[in-house]
Amino acid sequence: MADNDASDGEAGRPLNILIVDDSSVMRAMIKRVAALSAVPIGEIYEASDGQAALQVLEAHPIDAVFTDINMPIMNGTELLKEIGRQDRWKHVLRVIISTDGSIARRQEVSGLDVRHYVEKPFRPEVMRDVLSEITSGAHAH
Amino acid sequence: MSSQKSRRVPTPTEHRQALCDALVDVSEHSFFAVAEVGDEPRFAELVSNPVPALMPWEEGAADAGVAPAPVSWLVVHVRFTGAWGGALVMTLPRPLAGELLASFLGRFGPEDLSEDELLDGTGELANMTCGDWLTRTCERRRFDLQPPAVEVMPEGWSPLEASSAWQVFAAINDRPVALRLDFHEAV
Repeated sequence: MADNDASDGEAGRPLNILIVDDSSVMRAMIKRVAALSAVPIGEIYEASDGQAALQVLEAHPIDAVFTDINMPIMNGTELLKEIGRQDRWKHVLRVIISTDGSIARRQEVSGLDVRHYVEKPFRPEVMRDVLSEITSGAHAH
Repeated sequence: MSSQKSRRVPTPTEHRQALCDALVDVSEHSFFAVAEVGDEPRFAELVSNPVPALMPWEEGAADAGVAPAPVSWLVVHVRFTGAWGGALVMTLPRPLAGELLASFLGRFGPEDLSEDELLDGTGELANMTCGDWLTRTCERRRFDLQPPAVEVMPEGWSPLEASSAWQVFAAINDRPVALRLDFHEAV
């Protein structure tokens, strides 16, 4: 089990992030945007569905999860629920990146401690701003 | 009253407009491309006269010849359920898919893409367009998307063979794109 001693928004410390999306191209794009941002990024891990993401969380210290919603095997909502059930992952910051920006979906995830909800399509600067906010330690309203 | 308002079903015209807006939104924000909605005659013109890979003044154009090579096409199906069920179908020429994906990934050009990346990214283009359209039209209703299915059409296939099947004719970077919505039930 990974020693997840990461703290919420410790300024300047590189973030270990996990990108969860069934599209390898989308993961590559997010990874590229994260790397090009001015935010200090540590390791970037990838998973193609929620189940694979849980395996990564078990094996590595993750500070933030960026997850899609609609994925096979285990979707993003189920993943976030599972993260929420585990005390050892309570520090993990949660960001949704999804084409589904509907009110119904936002309401569905409202109780899952989602820090940001990013709708696709998004401009790269949106991701940069999300990463900056996470590392600054500010709390979203 | 509020439940009635939230359950209002968009008209076909509203669905079409939302789909057009979604295509432009996705093209511009994620793929840094210029998208314009047009009509069938313009679409047919773009299909029949594809943009050459090289402009006449570019290096290698003389060797490439005057007539552009036959264009191969991709057709993507994105199935959706929830508020309503059906599929978004999108078709675009393979060279355009390569251009868009290269831009999306910050690659030098389409030649830097693998076949898997090209097909995955094309599916993602349609997936985002479908999700954007549904977000605009579903209001308070939930929807779910299936992973996109991308088909490489056989050589010689043209979207003009069944042009009446398409509902939206557009151009992205002056290359033709067509879309339609296939609902399981009439909406």
